[in-house]
Amino acid sequence: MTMFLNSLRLAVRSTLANKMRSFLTMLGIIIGVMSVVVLVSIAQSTTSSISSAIASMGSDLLTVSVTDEDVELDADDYLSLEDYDSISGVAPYLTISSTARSGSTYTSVSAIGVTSEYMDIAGLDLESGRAIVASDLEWRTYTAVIGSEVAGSLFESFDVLGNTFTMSGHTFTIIGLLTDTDSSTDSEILIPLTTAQRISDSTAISTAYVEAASTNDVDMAQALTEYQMLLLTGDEDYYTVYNMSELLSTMDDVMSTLSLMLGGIAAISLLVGGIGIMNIMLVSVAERTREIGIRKAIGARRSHIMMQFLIEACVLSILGGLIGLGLSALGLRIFEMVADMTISLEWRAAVAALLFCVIIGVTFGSYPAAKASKMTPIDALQRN
Amino acid sequence: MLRLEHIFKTYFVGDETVHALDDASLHVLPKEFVAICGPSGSGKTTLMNVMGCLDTPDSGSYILDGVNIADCTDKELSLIRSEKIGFVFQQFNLLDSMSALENVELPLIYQKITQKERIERAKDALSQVGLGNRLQHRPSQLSGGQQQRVAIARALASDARVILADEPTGNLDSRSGNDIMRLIQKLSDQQHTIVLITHNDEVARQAQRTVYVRDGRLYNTLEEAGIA
Repeated sequence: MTMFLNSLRLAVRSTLANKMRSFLTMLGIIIGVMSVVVLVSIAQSTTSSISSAIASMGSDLLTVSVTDEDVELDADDYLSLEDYDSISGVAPYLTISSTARSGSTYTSVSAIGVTSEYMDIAGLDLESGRAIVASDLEWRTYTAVIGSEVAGSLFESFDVLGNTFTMSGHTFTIIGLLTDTDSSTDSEILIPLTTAQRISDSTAISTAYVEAASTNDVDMAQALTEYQMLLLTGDEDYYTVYNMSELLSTMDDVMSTLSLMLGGIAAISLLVGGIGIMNIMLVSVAERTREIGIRKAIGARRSHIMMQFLIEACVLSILGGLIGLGLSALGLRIFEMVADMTISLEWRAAVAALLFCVIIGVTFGSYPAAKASKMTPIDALQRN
Repeated sequence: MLRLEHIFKTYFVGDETVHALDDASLHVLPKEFVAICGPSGSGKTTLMNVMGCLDTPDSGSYILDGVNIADCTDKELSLIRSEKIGFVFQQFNLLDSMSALENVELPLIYQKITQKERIERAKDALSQVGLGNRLQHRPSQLSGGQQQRVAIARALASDARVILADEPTGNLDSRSGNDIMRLIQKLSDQQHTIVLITHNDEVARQAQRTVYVRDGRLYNTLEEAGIA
């Protein structure tokens, strides 16, 4: 143990004695650790933000869409699904891509024609104002609930209730503002479904959300929806029914494969860093031949010399790893500020990277260390 | 204490064969102070390396303090070097990155002696050589004579009974050289066995006995060696 502590002390000292060289040696490891930790953290945080966006819509949600242009279903066709016990709500909707204008400001938007149940089912909340209600649909009013990004680009303000804008040749009055969700809903405009049908000059509706009564009913609801759609369209190629939780798990799979791949690529740079350490350790052994000779002459065993160089390689790689970790935390903080998103340091990647550093230190340190330990004292002393 | 019998050691330098030791036999008694004298290239240093267990002979036997060196493993040789032999080199061979105290402590670390005792013994050895006030100096901050005294302290601290000195005054001015010789003389008086290698007759004369080396062979008088 004292031997180990002494070797450790020596290793730290020799690392500090050649600060520049040690730093350059560690640079490979630092960059390697940084790329592992930063890339994996960003990938993981992005995944979880997308996942939570989907999850906020509810995992008991099904998306139905008609994929054949010749099939025309109207709102009642979808609403008939509400008769089943396992289905608690249906929200047919119609999406129109359009341009909204206020004064001289234009912005392209997705205008979604919705029923009064839509916001509930899609999991949207109001920041202020009111939602689209049944009477809006009945009177085909030109009212709109807008997302925060739309409000920002049209009025540069969130105090927009009562303001008007024009879209597709009609003037809409803003009755509500959606809560900021950091997702695509921020750039949407919700209008009454009947109004949307009038604008698009068609009663055909190709998409709807179907909400299952509970999470346990999702499979049942999906089967019933598919059955109903088959009855309505006559061919199972004419429609698709997505299950949000399925979508979620598919996406999780894709993203975890992606972060594994990113981690793998970054691990290669760690490996390259390890080779750098071996390189420098070999130089260090050659440079310190006389020191090895002196130590052997005064009683150092092979194992002592071996340990000394091995520990030195480990100190270099672990120190590099820790610096890399520190810089990763800093880098992620900066990335957060620039990209305006929350990213948490992925601790599993950090632990894995540090463990990898230890392995690298031992692996790449052992060859130079063995080389040093095998020197005969006489050769080592004579070579000056 | 040291008994070398019919030691042969041959080096190959390029095409040339160098008989560094050619049937060398030497017997050093405990507490004896022997000088080994000879011109450069005569095999003195090889002899010292063999005696210090740094090098193994091609043939012949070497018994140190009752132990046959030929039978020792690498590990056992390390132990013998650290416990029984103290080296004093012409080049001092101190570690530049360490203080005088740490240099003297080093052999004790390899003997697994506790830190407290190590420091005590190292300080003691340094004050014996008159460097009690230079503990934290680096070798580069010390004069040649002082560095050599640190090296001697290093040999003392490990409590080695045999001190092998290879031209200890070779790199020193005459005044520092005399200091070092006085120190070695003192160690001899303190019951250490000392083998001193030199090509300086004046230095050799301070030993109790002188052995002459020429072309790898040992002689007891200058006339036999044919050096004079």
